[in-house]
Amino acid sequence: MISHVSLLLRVTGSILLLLLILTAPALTVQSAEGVYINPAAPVQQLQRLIEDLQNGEFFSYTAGKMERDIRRTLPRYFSISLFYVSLSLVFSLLAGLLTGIITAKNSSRGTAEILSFFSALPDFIIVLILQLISITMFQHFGVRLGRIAYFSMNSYFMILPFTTMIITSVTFMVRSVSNHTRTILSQDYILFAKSKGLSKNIIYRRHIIPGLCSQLHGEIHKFISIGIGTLFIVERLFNIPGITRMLFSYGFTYIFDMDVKEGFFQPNFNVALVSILSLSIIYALCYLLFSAILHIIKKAGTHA
Amino acid sequence: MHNTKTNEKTEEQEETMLMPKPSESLHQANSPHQPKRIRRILRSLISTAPFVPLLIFLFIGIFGPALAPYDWDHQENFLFNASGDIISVSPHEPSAEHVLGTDEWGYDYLTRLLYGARYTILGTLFAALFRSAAAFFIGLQRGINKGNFHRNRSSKRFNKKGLLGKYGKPLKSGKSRNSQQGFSITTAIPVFIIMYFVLFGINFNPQWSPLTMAVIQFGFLSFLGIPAVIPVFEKKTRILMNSPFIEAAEATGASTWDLIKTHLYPHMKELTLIVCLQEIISVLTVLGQLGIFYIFAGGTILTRRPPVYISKTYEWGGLIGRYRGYFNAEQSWLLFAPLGLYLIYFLSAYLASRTAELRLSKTFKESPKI
Repeated sequence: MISHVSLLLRVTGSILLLLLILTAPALTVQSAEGVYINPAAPVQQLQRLIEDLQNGEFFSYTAGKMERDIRRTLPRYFSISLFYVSLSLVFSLLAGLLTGIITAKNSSRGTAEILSFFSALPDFIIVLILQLISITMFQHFGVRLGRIAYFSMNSYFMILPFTTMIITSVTFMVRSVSNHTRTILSQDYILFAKSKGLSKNIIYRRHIIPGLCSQLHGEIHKFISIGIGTLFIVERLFNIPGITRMLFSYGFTYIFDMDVKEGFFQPNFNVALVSILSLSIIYALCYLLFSAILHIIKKAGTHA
Repeated sequence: MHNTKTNEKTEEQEETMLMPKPSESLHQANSPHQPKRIRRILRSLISTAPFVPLLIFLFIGIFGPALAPYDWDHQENFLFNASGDIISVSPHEPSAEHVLGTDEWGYDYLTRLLYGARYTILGTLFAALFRSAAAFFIGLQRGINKGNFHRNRSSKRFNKKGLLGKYGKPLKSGKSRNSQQGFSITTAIPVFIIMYFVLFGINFNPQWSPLTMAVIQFGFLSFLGIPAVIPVFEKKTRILMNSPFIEAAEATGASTWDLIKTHLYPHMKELTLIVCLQEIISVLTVLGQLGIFYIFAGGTILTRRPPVYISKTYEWGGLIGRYRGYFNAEQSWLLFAPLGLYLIYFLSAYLASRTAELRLSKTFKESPKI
């Protein structure tokens, strides 16, 4: 009972915090007289949102001079973001698991250093370097590594965004798997299993992999967070029409009137809310997917 | 007590007596001890070498404006030859007069970058220090409470006080402690996006001065990063609190302050340094990410027609965001100069952090059993 109440409180708290973050741009107002805080702004935004829900205007928003319907445009943005995040993270999870276990015992100092460096390197720097390499390769050798920006709505797949997302997430996964495997390998029960005459293969399948999957389950949140964080940068720098692009292109617009020297904040609050909620759904779907993958690996290891 | 002191004195006297005379000492130093001493000095120099680049950047951050070849307002829209003809219209490419060229408005780029260094370098250092210090104290406090609980598991006093927390509860079967961390909607939103929403209303054409804006921005940046760092210190404190030497100190009547001063802090010095260095990298990353979304440290000037986003302070991360499409442009130095400086600063912080990390990990290394 207590856990349900606590869960309810947490979810409510998270939603309230989310609404506060989304209405934060309207909270501060700049004018010729100075900067002031409009504490009523979040409440006004929420009231407008509820009114829109009642009169059926919740799903419409303006994109330039066009009137659009979220229900029609959202699936496209959602599917592109989900495609990039899930595919790159699944690849990173599996590749990270395999590489991490192999490198746990035999990794040279150099491999560890390279992984550590790439996991620290900012995602936007990786994008810029990849774009630079692509341009240089094409100009000097005529080799086309991949498109450096998204042009067509008909083609989903772009190799450079995937490479960026894989680099940021796979380095985290390999390091994590490697560290956990090393910790498990140094445990006394492994020595006990070895002294009983169990083969390396069985020790790995029955002790190390299940233990590793349990440990990794606790790190899924961080793993997906890395993926979602990179998605914002990747969609921005490669001009990919995903959820984050929808959020930044149509969720908020800032207009500054030079004549009266006043900035106007023009929100499509419904778009911002739907975008963030969609991201949360992508997050939850990824969480379920990775939990299932880890569960299958764990069971397969134990029963094989 | 008295006897002990007397004994110590006697030992000191004996040591003094046993010490070689000056002439003997010199004689010995010239032969077998000399290489050892040189080796020791060399070793200490090598061990501090990875921190030197970061110190150089700190110097640039503090004295950047003094090192700048021109004033902040120095502007050259046109370059003339000896006969007075215009040979170049800004942006001027790198030359002997302008080592890193000028920007679109004819401002010397090196000068502007050196002025911007104050925000990039000192801002990140300030935010990293603030994050680490706040997380250290909060983590220490939480670790001490939980460490005490673990030692006094049977004590009703702690249960009544409600200090159980999630660490005190028995684990559900088959689950690790990490796996019991719950999901929250806010975990799906990265820090720089929260920063973006918070700063959106005030960052474009700000009414406040760049310094005020920077203080607000780096303040928020520090504040939002604290929760992620607290568990590092909390965990370390908890481990230390369960150590026999802490129990012994408490048994001899040491107060909490004594424990912190004499036992906990000395054991956590290296960890604090590592966390601080890692946080420099973390803050630097967020600064660059915000730059990609045109939220520049110190404020963004937004022109109306055409809409151009200009960094008020020439902070490096912001300039990368501003000129990110200039790879192939004729004015590519506008991107490569701040990008190069940003990367070198990043590498300096990374080198220092990694060195400190490796030194600490060597001490606690465990070997695999198979």
